[in-house]
Amino acid sequence: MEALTPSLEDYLEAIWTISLRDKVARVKDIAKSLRVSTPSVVNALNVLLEKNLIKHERYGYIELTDQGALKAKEVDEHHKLLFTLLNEIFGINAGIASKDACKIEHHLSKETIKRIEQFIQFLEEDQEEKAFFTSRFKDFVEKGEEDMGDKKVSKADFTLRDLKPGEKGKVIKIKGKGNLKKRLLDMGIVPGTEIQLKKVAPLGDPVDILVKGYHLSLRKGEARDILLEKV
Amino acid sequence: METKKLKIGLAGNPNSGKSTVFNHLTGGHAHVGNWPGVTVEKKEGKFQFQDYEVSVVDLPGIYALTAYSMDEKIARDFILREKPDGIVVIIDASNLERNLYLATQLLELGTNVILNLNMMDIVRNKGMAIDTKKLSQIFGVAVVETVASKGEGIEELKEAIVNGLKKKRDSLRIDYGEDIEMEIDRLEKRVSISGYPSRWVAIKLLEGDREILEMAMREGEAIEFQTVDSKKRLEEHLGYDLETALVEKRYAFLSGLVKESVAKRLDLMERLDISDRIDRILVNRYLGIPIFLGMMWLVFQSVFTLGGPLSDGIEALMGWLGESASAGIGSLGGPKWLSSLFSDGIISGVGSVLVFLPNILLLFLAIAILEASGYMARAAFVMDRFMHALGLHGKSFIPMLMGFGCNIPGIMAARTMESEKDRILTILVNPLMSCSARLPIYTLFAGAFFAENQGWVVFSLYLLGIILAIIVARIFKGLFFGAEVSPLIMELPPYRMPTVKGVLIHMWERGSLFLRKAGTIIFLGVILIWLLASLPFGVEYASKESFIGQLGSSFSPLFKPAGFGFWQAGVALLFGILAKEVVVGTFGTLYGVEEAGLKEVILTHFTPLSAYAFMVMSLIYIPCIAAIATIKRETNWKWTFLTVAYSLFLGWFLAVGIYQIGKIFL
Repeated sequence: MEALTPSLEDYLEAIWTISLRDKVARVKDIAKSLRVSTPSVVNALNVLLEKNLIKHERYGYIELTDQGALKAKEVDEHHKLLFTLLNEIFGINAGIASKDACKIEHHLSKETIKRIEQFIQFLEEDQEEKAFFTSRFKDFVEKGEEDMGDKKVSKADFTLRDLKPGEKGKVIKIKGKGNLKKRLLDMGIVPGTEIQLKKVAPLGDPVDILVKGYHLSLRKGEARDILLEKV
Repeated sequence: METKKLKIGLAGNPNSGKSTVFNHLTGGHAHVGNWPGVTVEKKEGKFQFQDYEVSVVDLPGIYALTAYSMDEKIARDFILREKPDGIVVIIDASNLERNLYLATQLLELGTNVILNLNMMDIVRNKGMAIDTKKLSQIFGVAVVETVASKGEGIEELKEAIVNGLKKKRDSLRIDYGEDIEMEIDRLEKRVSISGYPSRWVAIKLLEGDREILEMAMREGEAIEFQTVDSKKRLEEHLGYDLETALVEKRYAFLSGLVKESVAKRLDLMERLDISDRIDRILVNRYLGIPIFLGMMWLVFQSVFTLGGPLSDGIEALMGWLGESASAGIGSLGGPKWLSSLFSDGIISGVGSVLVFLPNILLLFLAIAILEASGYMARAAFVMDRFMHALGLHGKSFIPMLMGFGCNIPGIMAARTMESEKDRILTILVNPLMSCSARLPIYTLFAGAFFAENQGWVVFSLYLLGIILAIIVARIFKGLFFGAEVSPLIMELPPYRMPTVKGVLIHMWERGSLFLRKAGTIIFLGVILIWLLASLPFGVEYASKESFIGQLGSSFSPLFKPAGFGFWQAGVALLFGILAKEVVVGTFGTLYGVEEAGLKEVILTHFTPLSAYAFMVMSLIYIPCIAAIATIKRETNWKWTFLTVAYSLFLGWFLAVGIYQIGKIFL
């Protein structure tokens, strides 16, 4: 099928939602739902008519063709998926989530949509896990990055950045690539090595760590690349 | 008996006492120069032992042989290309594991190595013993213990260099585990680079070493695919990347080795105790910054307060020499140009170089002490956040601060920075730090026009310089170096007592290098300006009719929009390139008045507004010739030219801008 512009997709979606609710959709309902003027609706409808996505019945009722219904359903599903992701999982409030979902839905590739769908399914599989995940994420957002010293944090989330002065951790791996990573490895920050955070500089950055018996200073930006497990 | 020659390199981690070992081996007589094409110092020395003459090259302090940093590249190129007879690896025995890492890399390469366990006194004080026999056995090389700070073990080291390097040995084989070994084998059979052990080449390829990959591809393009193929297979199998896996194996080998060969394993927390306690105060949350500022004040004071009288002394001496020379030549009936050549040219030229020497030597002394004691790294640690916000690096604070005294030591102090980009950036903006030579200009003008607010006016100029430095640094960073920030991965070495001999040698090495290199350019520049001021024949020195006077007059209209478009200002600015404080003296000469009468003259030529514009111009336009020479010496012509060009334009634009906008309001 030929690609539609985002706004035309919005029209299809509106017609679909209205006709689900009221059985039929009228020009003024569409105008109201999308907050546009009646002439704009008529213009758009003419384009959709040309593309054979809608039928214009008498009395100004508008009905979707089979092809149109298919397309509208697809857009609507994407909208719902995105809304779920933004609202339920990310915890963004419903108004913003709905508005943003409208903006995003037209631009995503099939692969991304598919993956988002799988991600949501994956979370839905275990409701307890989902609740745990979302509430922890909510905590994280509310408390801000600084307080991520939570005990429940899974191994992979825990980095050198999260250590407090005096605390120790064992290196799991170094994220990233290239020069910086190689340098950190050469300095002895290899998996299994124990690191102790000794001090934070007076201005809050960099930090001083004890590794393999010597002191090394790193910026917090670099520290975030070093994944640790608690010891 | 005929003397046989040997050439060896000294390699080791920073802070392993490498310089001290070098000084002891060579008796402190080093030839200091730069490695070709870069500003990293190259030190060479010699010693005689039995019937051998051994030349020793001090390699930059490095942690590994990966060739990512300039220092590592130099060391690696020296080892791979110059093929020395051997490398002595200096090891801080009190931090054995990480220090041995570099040694294993050399041993894997099959380099002829001698291990020097230095700082054995610290090890012994902790009641520990290192089984050197075992180390020697495992590595298959001679191991020598030293306490370089006290000169202990140096003769044994010389002996080992002369006798121990003769024995041929195999490359060290670290067992990387079944999977990796299989791929190493596979690659090893397909790759060859003449002169390198193929196992080492295979390992380097798996590690992703670009230089080796390029060399290998010259022998056969297919190797790239084979490498990628091997890597992919391994990484899938191991579950993580090969880079990590290889380094991890090396460290695993080392930690096993250290466990085996060190009796009563060094409890490192214990060793660091004193250092830790010092750090608790020096980088304390509340005291850290005040202490740092206090230290800097101390350095600044000792460099410029102690150096000032010495510089004045040299200046006076040179003045006296110049006068006596010109009087002497005059009494002998020599021509006037000859006496001028001596007094205004050669002697003032030599003088303008020597005049900086006390400051520079004192600065290098201070830096040597800060570095040797271990505080330098702490200074960067404390200031990094602040400097980082300005687009610079923790270590650029000291060069900037020095710049307020004199830009030359400021530019040279940038040497302490590891990243070449940060170093150049720091140098480029350093002339914007208002050096003390510009103060006489401010004093004259601000005193004449803003007597009541003199302090504030001068302060505003210093502030303007700082603000411009921040803006220019940001722009240049974006323009030439990209947004990429250089990481801070810096060892905080244990505090140590610097030795008098060590810091003095260090100071002299760097100071003499400055004299030799920058000195020639400064000298030539001074002579050139003397010629311009004396020619054509028969003109009064530095008069309007001289070439420099003509030059000054010809471009003085350019400064009309800035409010000082008369030829005297143009000539004064030209002479200001010689040294900024010369601007004041030049005005005196040109108007034919003593310094006391200068105020009156200036009041008739300038308005308060044009006086301010002139001060801004003096602050920013073209660094003095000595600073230009130093920038050239520390970077290259490209960056030198850029500094001259940007400062000239920036100065002109601001002077014009201030004058034009000011005219609207005043």
